[in-house]
Amino acid sequence: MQKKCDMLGTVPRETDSSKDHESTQLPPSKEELLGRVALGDQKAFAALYDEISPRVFGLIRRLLVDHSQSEEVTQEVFLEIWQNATRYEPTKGGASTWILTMAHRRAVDRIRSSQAGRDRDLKIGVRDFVAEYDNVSDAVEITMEHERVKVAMAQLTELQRQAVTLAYYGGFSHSEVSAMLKVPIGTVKTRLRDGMIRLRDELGVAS
Amino acid sequence: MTEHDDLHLLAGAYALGALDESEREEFEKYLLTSEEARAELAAFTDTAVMLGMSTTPVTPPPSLKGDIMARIAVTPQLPALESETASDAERTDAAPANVTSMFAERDIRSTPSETAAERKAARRWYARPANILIAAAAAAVIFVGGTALGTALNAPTQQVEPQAVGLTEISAAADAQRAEAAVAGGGNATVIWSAQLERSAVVISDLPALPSDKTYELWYIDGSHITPAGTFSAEATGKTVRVLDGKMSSGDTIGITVEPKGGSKKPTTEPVVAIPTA
Repeated sequence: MQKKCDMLGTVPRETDSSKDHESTQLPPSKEELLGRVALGDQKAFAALYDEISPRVFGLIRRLLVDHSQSEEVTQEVFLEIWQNATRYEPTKGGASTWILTMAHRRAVDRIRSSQAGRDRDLKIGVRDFVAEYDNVSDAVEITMEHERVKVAMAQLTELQRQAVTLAYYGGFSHSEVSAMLKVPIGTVKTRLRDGMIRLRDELGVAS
Repeated sequence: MTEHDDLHLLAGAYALGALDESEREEFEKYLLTSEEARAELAAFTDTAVMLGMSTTPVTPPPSLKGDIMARIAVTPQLPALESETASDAERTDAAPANVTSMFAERDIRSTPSETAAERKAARRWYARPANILIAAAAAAVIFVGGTALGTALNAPTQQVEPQAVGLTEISAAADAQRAEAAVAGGGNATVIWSAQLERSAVVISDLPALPSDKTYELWYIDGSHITPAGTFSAEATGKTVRVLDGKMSSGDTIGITVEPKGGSKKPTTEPVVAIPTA
């Protein structure tokens, strides 16, 4: 979470001046910022960017691995946020949900539609993905959500956990997951759903 | 097992992004028919977002923010949706496959005060000129049960305004930089330049209009060596974009003066704004 502050320091633009809050405090509502963005407010957009870009970029880079492609996709996501803020409905979901769902989809689209995914697949195997997930806890900087997700993930069966990890963090399709884990595709589908039900309950996400 | 039960099973894979294109579409159609499926998916989507939130945040390079801010400054926003129904025809253009550059074109005329007709016209900016592919940024996102469904506007092929193309090229350069300053007399100017391309552009918000016998003129200023870089007038809609004529040399200051109609060979007034590019 410290990185947010680093970023504020390295981008000394006047549009950032309103964003000097501590990242440990409850941030100003992203929903409210999005509402202002929908009216064409560029300062609100800059504030929203400061708020959420490390999350967006972190997630995209996790999927794409390649740094410059991750930057490109991050740009796409923020352009999409700018253009579609007019269609964001706070009653239907939080701003983070809206934005990270968009970011994840964009990253997956990039993997599927480009050589990037294939290049990446050559370098990274199943074991690396799952191992990487397990090892993130060693990183200096982890998120609050990380602990919760780690605990929840531990409640899954091995197959559920591998399937969910490969799909979400690897951006692999269920047919790819099926090939990688050498289980039938129907099994992958049901494990992904079982796994999500378990995670939902463990994480206390209201259904 | 009925077909709906089958589709129901896809909620997990959908939320995790594991479906292929055709299954994704099939599932999205199914969602429109089932309240229960939407509710389950909403919870799964929140769950997936938790997985996303658990990844280590990584601060993007500072240059990315500058690039994005320059882009959004000249990118139109979509009109609010009147109908949330995405037809198949609309979805056809949503696929970002083979898109080399998914940055939206910018509508230099776009302002929050524009009329509905202008907004409609702005849609045409989501075009695909020969060498700048845009497409996917036009994808709209609607919410069904807390999850984002991709749709897109139809994207008729149309040439994009040269100023916007120039600006796109400059701000897409690997070494693109920007600086901003207030304009004396009103408005805020941003210069975006690439030393590599030897090009620069100004984006000025709320620049006051001049009397008809006057014009704004751009200058490259290198000490006492001042080179004209073209004239322009203020856009009535509040967002003026002008790519400078000629070549920018590294370290030039970009200046704007008010000159008699037709422009001058040397500045005849004090600059209303001068922005160093070093």
